[in-house]
Amino acid sequence: MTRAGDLQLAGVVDNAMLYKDLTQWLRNRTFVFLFFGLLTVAEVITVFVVLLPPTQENAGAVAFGFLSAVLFVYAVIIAFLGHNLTAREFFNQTFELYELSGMSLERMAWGKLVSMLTQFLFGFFCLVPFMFVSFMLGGLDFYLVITTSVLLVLAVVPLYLLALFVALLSKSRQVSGVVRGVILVFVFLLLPWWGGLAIVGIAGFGGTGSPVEFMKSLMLLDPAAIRSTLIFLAFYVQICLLLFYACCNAISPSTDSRATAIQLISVLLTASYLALWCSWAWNGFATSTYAYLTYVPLALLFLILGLVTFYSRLDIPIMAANRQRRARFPVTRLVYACFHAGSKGAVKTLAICYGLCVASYALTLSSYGVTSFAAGGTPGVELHHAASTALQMPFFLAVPAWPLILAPQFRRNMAALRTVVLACWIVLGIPLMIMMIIVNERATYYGAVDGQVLMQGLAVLLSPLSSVFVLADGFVLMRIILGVGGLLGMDAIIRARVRREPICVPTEVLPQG
Amino acid sequence: MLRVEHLTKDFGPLRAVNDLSFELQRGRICGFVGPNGAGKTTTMRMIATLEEPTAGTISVNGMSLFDDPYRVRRSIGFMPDHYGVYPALTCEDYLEFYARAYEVPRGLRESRIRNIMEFTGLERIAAKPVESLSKGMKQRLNLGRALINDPMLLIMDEPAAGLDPRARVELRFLVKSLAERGKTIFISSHILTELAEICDHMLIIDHGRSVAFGRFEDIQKNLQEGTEITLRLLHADQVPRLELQLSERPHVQNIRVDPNGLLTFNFRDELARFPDLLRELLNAGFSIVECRHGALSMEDVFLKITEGSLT
Repeated sequence: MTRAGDLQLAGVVDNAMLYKDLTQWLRNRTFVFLFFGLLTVAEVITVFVVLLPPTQENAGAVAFGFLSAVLFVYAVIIAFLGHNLTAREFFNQTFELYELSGMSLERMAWGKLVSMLTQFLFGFFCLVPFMFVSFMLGGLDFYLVITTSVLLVLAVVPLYLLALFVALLSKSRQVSGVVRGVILVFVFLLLPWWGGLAIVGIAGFGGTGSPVEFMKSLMLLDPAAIRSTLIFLAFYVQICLLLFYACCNAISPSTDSRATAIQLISVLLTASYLALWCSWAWNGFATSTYAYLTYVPLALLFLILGLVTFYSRLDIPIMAANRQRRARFPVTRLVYACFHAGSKGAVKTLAICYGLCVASYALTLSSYGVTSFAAGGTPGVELHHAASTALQMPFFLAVPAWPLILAPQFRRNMAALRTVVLACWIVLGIPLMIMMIIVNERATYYGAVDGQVLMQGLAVLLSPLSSVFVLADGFVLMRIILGVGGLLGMDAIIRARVRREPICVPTEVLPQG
Repeated sequence: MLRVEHLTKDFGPLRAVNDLSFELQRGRICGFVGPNGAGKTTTMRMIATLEEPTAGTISVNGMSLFDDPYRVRRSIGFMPDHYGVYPALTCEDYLEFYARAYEVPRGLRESRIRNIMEFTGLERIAAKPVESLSKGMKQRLNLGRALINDPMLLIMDEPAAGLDPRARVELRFLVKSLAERGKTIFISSHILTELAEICDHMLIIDHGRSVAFGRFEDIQKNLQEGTEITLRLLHADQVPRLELQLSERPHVQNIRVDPNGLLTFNFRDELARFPDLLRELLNAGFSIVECRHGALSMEDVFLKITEGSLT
């Protein structure tokens, strides 16, 4: 193996960040508390279940349920410990010292992630003997054990990446506190709900009923289950990679960037999702009651991508520019040309994703026909609602920022602008979202509510959270127009920024002669 | 070793560093002084690749910051004015971590860490948690970290800030011995007497601009109008007569007498000719009991150059 190969391998195996985080964890008192705490709780649960009346046939399942819950709580504790350590390091500029060592951003994020996973697996293996005991108690399906374990292991990777990302996203303790609160809501309320929906959806798509049934068919090498698993894994890997590079990007906003990777993965993810969506639509999924929610992941992707990459600096950081200049392979050069760092690159990527959405919309529209929508046919309406939800998102990226960008303090502090935009969405969106859910429920049973159109209009205009819940047909076209306007608005924001603060390029970077 | 040309950095409308140029040779210790907000830390951060210049070039050991920022990072040691946080990590773990981060080959790691601990005097506290160390010890550890990749250029931002007198003396000794080993040191401090003792070069900036750069003696010479001579007479009543006689001499200027009777003047001829003048004065009957010549102190130089804008 070459010297460069040796070094790359050393980065994975002999990772400095992994060494540091694990050493800190093992030397910390929290480790002792967690270790003995886990063992004590697991023992108490097992003894409690063993002492249940002998008539209890599902004692094993009860014990396993409790142990799984304990493991989930343990996983969340590890996420918060990792988050807190990383946030402290970030606030105190310790990451600058890591950067100075020449350690790559990937190596830093990878070390932190693997350290958290190691800590989780430590807890997992602590509980394995107790799970075995619960299995011996009877009433517990082997496939349930496997399914729960696999789902937990799969869930912790994005959870830990998310925890890292949140720690690196905010620059002050106060902002971090707010963002942490939002993420708490996300992790405990929304994530399990979406995860549950995804699992049910995948299980349904695989042709079986529950995740356990799905696991059974997968282990029996059922082609439908294998296909669904592969689709799931494709998305899972892309989402994890996206979060991973978002973490890398957040570490060094001043001299380095991973915006190219983020943009490339986002486009791939959008393309994959739209391909899946087209196949769902053609297979009649658009008739489902919740079909209008199928575009929510895309809307979310638009918003996250916009927040992370659009609200950033205009020019390309020095390290990223250097990498771009040194790209040897034509494919790499092409990728850098299409997806470059900076706000301009973000708009370009969003426009590509937008184009893909429009193309898939047009494709599925042709299968249902415009007349179906005009006539108010359910499949067509659901399809239009779903598509227009995602297509409106550039509007929300452009509008709250437009007046703020005129203020120099926001132009100089993009992190603050990002936080204000996010706060606008949440503060305005949550009350309107609740209102829209109530209005939708009442409208189903008692017909239209007074002022419904006004409320719907506000919900569509003020926040992406509330806009998703507006199901009136009249807003479909409006949403699409707002979305196109949003893309143009984003371009205008960049022009305004360039006009007010011209990009300064170091003299040596300028072409000579 | 370090070459900075027309370096400029803007933060919005504020120009923090303005067209700064200087060059440092190997083994030099260059003091970097300026009033608060003059752009010292920004300049150091730009050289350390932590900030991007708005314009200008920086090259370290012939490598340009723009051509290969990664290699520049690996070839410098930077000691910022903060330490970072390392809960539950011992001094040895800390150095081991940075040795891994800098990809010091496994075979070399142990000896490199041992040498650094020996050099910085950290062997006795190797197993102590980093967070429990005193400021002086933390600063030594910080220096150890900056040396772990055996850099040729060491950038130190306010290393003596907050240290007690003993720790300062020890730090001064460490810096001097590093320069003797051929390392170039670029050091900023507000404690000018410290710098005067260790630095052979000085760079003074004000409002982001370089106002003086070169050997300290040269800067002194440029600022000082001749050599400052102070005379003490046994009989104070001779002072006015001496003042009169000196004022008639062509190379004597700026004569002043302090309340204690000390007479000071600037001798603008070669210093080697001063004994002749002294002999003449003694022969003329002046009872001179003390004679000393002095240069401008670094504080004087700094205040003179920055026109009293020290804040």
